[in-house]
Amino acid sequence: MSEIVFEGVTKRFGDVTAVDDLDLRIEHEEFMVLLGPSGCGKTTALRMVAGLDSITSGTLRIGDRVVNDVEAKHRNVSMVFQSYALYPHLTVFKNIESPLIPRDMSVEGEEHPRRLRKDERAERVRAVAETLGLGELLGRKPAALSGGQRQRVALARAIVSRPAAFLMDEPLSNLDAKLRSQTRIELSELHTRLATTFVFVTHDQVEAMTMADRLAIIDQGRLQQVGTPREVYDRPRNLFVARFIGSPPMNTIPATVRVDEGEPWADTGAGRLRLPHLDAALTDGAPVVIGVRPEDLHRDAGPVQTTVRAIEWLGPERHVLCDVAGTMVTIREPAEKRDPQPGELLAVGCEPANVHVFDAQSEERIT
Amino acid sequence: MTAKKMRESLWAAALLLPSLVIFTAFFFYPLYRLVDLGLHQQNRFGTSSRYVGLDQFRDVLTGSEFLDGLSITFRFVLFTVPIGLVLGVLLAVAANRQLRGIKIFHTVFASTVASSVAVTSVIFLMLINPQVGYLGDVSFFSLADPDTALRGVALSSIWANLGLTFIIVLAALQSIPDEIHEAAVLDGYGPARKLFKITLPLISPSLLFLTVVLVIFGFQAFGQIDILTGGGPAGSTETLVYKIFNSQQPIAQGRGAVMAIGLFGVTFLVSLAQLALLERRVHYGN
Repeated sequence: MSEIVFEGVTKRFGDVTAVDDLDLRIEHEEFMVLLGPSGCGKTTALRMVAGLDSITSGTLRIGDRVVNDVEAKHRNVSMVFQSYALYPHLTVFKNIESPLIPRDMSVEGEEHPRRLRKDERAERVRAVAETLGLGELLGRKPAALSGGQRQRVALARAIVSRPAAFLMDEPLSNLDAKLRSQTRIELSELHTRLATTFVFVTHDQVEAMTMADRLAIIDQGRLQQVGTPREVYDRPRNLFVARFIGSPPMNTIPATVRVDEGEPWADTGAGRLRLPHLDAALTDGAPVVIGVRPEDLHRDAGPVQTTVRAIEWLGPERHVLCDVAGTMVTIREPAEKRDPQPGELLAVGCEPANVHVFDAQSEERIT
Repeated sequence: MTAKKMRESLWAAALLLPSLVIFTAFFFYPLYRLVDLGLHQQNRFGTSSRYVGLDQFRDVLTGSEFLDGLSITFRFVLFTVPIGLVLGVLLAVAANRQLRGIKIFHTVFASTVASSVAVTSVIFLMLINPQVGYLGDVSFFSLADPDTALRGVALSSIWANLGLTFIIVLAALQSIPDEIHEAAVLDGYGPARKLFKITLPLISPSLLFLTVVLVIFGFQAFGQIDILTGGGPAGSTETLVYKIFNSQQPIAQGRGAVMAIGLFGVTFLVSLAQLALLERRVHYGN
């Protein structure tokens, strides 16, 4: 079993707390994405798993083993770096072979791991190179490869030693857009084929949403929410997650709660929106922030008055940017609808079930 | 030729002129004079000279004086270059880490770069002075013993050149991305394996450069020999350069000139050989 468990893990660099009291359980064979803005601590969390950064406090387990004081090379994990970190003086073959040389590897049909012979290493290198389409390139040096090919070599080097967990630090960020979306699919397939725990760090929510079994959203060193892409999108736990996931991001509008004959409403200053019935009792006059996804807003005689500020046409869809009592709000709609004009007045509304309510003070979701 | 091409050629010539003047004044003309001196023999007062042609080249280059000097020079290079290079690499590897106050060590290790040969030699003389020196038993490299004096001079040179080696190796080490080291650690490389399989190959261009430069320094060493031993005792530290320096009387100038040309030829050939032998093993990054 190769689950990875953070229990109250903290990492400080001098006065800076990079990772703050992280509790996270990454399941065996799961594709977990650590997602957050730059500098949020996600890479530090990954580096602690790899053993490249020490742990200030807390416990980190891989499988049954506490690895706080286990050296990187004994953790049986491998990593793909953002820069790929290929050895520039070695051929592709030798780059991929390098993790096989200094350690004992398990061999099918044998009880104990041992050092591989040269021909056994060559066999494994060729097998991995073949699956990643690198067969022709084994004799080249990294300088003679394209960005996408280098990235594959880095992947090959990481999987050749059959690690218990496979760590990736923004491995797609140096690829162009087309190659990136292709590689996303290949990585998902690779995960299925290898049946190994993947931990993938990115700041790109598209990567996170498309590949993750579950994602862990981190901000300022703190875990914000863990869940499947769907859970995180449908029920963001706080305003940070609400604004971070989704493109264009969720509209968030400050409002005041009004309770009218037992029915909750949100007064936006430009009209009232009906709120869903929540478990928590909303008191009249309480300050909240309401969140509505751009695709959940419509402009068919709704209760909120807005002025159109700009239109962004994106082919099949259109973003209408408008002003709700001083807050900029985006409506996402199919392009076949009638074109609004800047300056036009719109009456915007949405279904109560699609309104997310957050406490204005704590920024936590009210459920 | 079009007017434009004409103008370009004129510009090119104008821009080349300063370096041509400098090369002519300080390289081509002295080289011509050297060959000219080598082809002639002067009388003791330098008042007349006669053409002796290539005979003088043959006599000097196969004579015991030249070969003696060459042998001492080679031994000096063999003492200084390998030890200096290894020490410099070790120091730089040791100092290439993020530690509080490491800059102080960097400055100390690099300090000999800013010291002239005269200064380092005088300090070395004081260090090994039997009466007031800080070093106790110096018999292994005593400057007073013909058998050990060359080692003493070599030791002083190793120390004096260590700063340069240190700075260049340190700069090369710092140009290796941290992620390469981290990848090696994750691949299971221990410190020694990482040093020999990853770090040294990646800094090999700097090591080649240093090898060539240190060998040339060794061939050209003069100041430390003059200050520490004056070529003695019993001529045991008279390198080729020192012998050339000693041929200043008019009657010896022809011989000196031939030895100088001989030294130039040897240095040139050795450098070429180094490049040819080592360059294949050097990795120039991408």
